[in-house]
Amino acid sequence: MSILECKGLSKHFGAVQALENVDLAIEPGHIVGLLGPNGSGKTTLIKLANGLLTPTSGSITIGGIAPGVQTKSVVSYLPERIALPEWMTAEQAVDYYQDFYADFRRETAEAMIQNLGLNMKQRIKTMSKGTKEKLQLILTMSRDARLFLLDEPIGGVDPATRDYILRTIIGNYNENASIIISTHLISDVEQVLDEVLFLQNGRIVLHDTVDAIRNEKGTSVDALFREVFRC
Amino acid sequence: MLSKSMKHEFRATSRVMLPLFAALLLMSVVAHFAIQLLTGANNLHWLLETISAIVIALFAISVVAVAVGVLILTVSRFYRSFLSDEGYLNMTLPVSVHTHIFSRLIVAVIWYALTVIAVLLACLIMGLNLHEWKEFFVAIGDVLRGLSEQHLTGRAILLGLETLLAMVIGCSFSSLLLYAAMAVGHSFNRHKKGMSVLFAFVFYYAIQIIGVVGIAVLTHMDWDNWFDITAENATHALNVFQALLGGVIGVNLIGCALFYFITHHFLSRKLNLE
Repeated sequence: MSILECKGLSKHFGAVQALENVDLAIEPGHIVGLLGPNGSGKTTLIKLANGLLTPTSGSITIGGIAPGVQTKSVVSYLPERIALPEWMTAEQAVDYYQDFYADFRRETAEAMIQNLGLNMKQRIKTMSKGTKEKLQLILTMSRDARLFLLDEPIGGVDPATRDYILRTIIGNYNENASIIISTHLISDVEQVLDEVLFLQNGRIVLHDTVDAIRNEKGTSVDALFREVFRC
Repeated sequence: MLSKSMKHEFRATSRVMLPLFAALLLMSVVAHFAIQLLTGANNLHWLLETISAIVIALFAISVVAVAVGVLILTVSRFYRSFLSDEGYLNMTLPVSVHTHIFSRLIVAVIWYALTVIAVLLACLIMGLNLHEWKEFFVAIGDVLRGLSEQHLTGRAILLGLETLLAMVIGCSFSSLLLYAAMAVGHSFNRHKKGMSVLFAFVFYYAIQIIGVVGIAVLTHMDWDNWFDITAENATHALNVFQALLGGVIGVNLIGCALFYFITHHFLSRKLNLE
């Protein structure tokens, strides 16, 4: 069974059409790049999968179930912004994840926080933006989830932090799980992807494996993206 | 999950409310000595007199600060938890929207209750001296004895519990009205905060209008015998009071249900995070 499936999925915000008739199936064990320019519908699709939005028409399911309390226990989500409460310490944020997610691996999270050189008693509001992003990623990736939805995990960070983030994602990746990474910084993530989805104006214009793109089209994902989305 | 949500909500709110309570109680002790100074000494130096007056004024300000603080906290906790960036974390937890709302509501009502207790305690500390404290407890004992002698202890307990329930439901009603206004206001694409304030006023005035109409209808009914309260029929007076309290509880419960439904609907179906 597909871990993520969309059938005729559409989402409109008033007259704005964010997603239009999307049909999609992601199988377990794949790392998928959700690629497209700004405003193409990447974040909307991820929000729909998380139950933060409800579809205008069509359906979206996680392991065959519509987004809800049950699916949220198997989906690990990294939003594009810092969502951790600023007043919490790193330790309190770890407590928070441990209390609500049965699949949270506290030891893994604590080890990664220690490797980052972070003090568990440090308040989040005193951390730099990069450190907050790393902490949020650590907490997201310290779960034994079936589906990871990472919205722009490397957007707006320096190249060294980008490497750290990609290492953390790959280092904590359970092979039975799937990861969907939304980004427009393709050259940085191309190396870790199994499949890519190109979104344009709310429609899927390409869904293929990275190997097929390289072998059959004889080009890199980055080069193909530039060709498809040429302005 | 409700207990876990409440645990973290207490953790988030206590860091604001506990220092406020501590400051209030500290101010009440200082104000107590200021009053003793003002009332006990003749020909008090003008500087001490001024300082004492300022201390008493600061105590009054701290009472207002605590009361306003709990209201602001109710609004800000709901907004931050579900409608700001933290919403991305909280609304993707494997927790139902019912649990989310109830956890915030229960914790808010507990803080309202603790605020009432803290303010009463602070006023008692400020206004009473040791002798008066003794008299205060003697007076409470007298009231309890009087109730017992007239075999009204059970009735008084029931009335006390009903009053408490009315207060809890009244606080829930106010909180849910604010939650509903914020949930509706933030479903708009623009001017979310402005729309929240607008809807708070809309809901408030809608309730006021319904209340006025309700009272107008009730005053046209024949209540003459019902309100025939004299010293001889104290039991009847209690019945009237209890019935009125029941009416208030019932009306507030309907309001709570309405605003709860609006809040739940907009959080679960119309959530519109930035």
